[in-house]
Amino acid sequence: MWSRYWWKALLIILVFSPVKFYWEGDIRQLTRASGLFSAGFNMDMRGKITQDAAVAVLGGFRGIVTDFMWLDAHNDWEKRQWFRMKPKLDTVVLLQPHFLDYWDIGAWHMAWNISYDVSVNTAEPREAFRLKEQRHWIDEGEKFLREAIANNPDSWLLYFKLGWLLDQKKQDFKQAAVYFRKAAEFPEAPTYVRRQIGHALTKGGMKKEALEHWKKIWNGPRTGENQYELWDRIEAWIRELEMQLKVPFSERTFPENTYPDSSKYIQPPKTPPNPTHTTPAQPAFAPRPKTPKK
Amino acid sequence: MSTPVADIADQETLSFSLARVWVIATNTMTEVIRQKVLYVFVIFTLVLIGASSFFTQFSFTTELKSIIDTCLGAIKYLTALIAIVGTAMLLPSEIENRTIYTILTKPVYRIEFLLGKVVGMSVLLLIVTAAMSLLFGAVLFVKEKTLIASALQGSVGGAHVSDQVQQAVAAIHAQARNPDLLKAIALLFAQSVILVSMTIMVSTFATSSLFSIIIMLLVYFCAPLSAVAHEVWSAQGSPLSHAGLMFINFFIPDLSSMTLVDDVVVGKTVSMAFFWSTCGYAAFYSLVVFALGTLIFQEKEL
Repeated sequence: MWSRYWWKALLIILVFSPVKFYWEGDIRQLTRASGLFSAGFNMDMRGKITQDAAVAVLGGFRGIVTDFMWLDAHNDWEKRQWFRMKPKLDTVVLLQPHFLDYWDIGAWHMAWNISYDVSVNTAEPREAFRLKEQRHWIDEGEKFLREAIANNPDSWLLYFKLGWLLDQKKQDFKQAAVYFRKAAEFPEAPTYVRRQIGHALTKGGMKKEALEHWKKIWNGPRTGENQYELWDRIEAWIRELEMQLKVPFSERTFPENTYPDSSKYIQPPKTPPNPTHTTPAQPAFAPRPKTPKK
Repeated sequence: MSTPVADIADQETLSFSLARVWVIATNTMTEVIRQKVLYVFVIFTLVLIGASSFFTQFSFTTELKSIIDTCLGAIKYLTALIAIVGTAMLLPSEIENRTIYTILTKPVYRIEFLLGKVVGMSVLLLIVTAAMSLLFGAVLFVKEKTLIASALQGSVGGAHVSDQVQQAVAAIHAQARNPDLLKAIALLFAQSVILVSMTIMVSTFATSSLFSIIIMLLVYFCAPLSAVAHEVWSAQGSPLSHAGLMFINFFIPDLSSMTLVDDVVVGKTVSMAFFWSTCGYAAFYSLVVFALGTLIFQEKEL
């Protein structure tokens, strides 16, 4: 026969079970709201890692398992085993999808290192095939970064990296400018990000938009981080674009007499070299002092 | 109106005493410190934390992450192992050495005895966690200085540090001086308190310490999956099966919310609302499980 203690124990379980579940649900909601634990343990993950690694992941060593898989992928990169490396990179980002370096460096390996290596692969005599391979790996890098953005939409770095890839590897300057612009919208993005928008627009032939962009920066605030902006370079780019676009002198940013394409152009005076600042001529090659013979 | 006999009985009724609980707690700490297995765990973890800087030699661009992963992983594992193994050996050794009889024949309630065990283990775990955290902090500090020095190496003498170097230094600072690391460690301690309470509860009906250890290790490895399991069964099944699963799941705490290592290491912010809610959950669950253990222990024939 059950004693009164056992009945009390059962009562505790019955009373506190709903409280426990309610509290756990509340914590789950808070975790979703703050974007925590989005990389839980699932069957997809179990299929990609060994049983030992799965036990380590469950035991609290997920980070260390990921570190070692990353190291393994890096070893494959050094051995040029690209098709072994790719699934490992996929597993690494599956285990820790919010660590940006994995996405950034993984995409860089694919779009830059691997794509170049396959393009100069001497074992493959067919140039068309090499180009196809090169394009494949650039596409893989782009896909990887797009997946990275889907997992981490609040990171300026990934938008910038995707823009950089489209700019440098695909010469899709219009799309590159779109992603640079998205990256520059983040307040924590450094100033070089917004400069890339102007360069991409210029390279893509959208010179009017590029000029508007540079003028917007020029007329913007110059405090905080902006005080280190490359103002002299931005001025030169504005001048260059205004001349290329043949903007009327009345609408130009700087006085008419400072533009080389103006009849009123005043040549800046040449400053004579300051003799106090000249450095003494150094020999291109300093001979090694002879050691005395014993 | 009470009789004189009843008054005498009331006066002789022993009240619950925190002083007695503390005496048992300090004795428990001494007892656990004398267990050699604790030294093995602590020395192993201290070596692991100290050597974590060495692991970074093998990591590519993720030096700080590698240190944080290793150290927090080691703290999590060690505190869980001490909580389970150390606590599981408490009651069986008391019974085996017959010291429990000398204690319980004195004016000590069984609840005071059990609470003393839980408090003693929790204080010991707090000391161990603090010691490991200090070492972890020292390792992180040294690595941070080294990485910043190497980042600035290329720009020494320049009037203004370039954007990229500034960005690299800011990233190093953000990762090494992340205040959420402290929250992650505090939640690991909360997890170990839950494990202590659960292990003491299992010990009250277990016949050997090995049984308690095995049961608790199973709970520890199942706990991260409890949230997944809950979501799966809440979407399907009959109300009866729900009730049955709810009963079983009562004994598996949601420890996944106390493992923030993976989120902190990537720079995710842990809100105070989440932190306090999880700490409250840990306190609530520990108390409920402790209450169950006390009820079982009241019934136990010694």
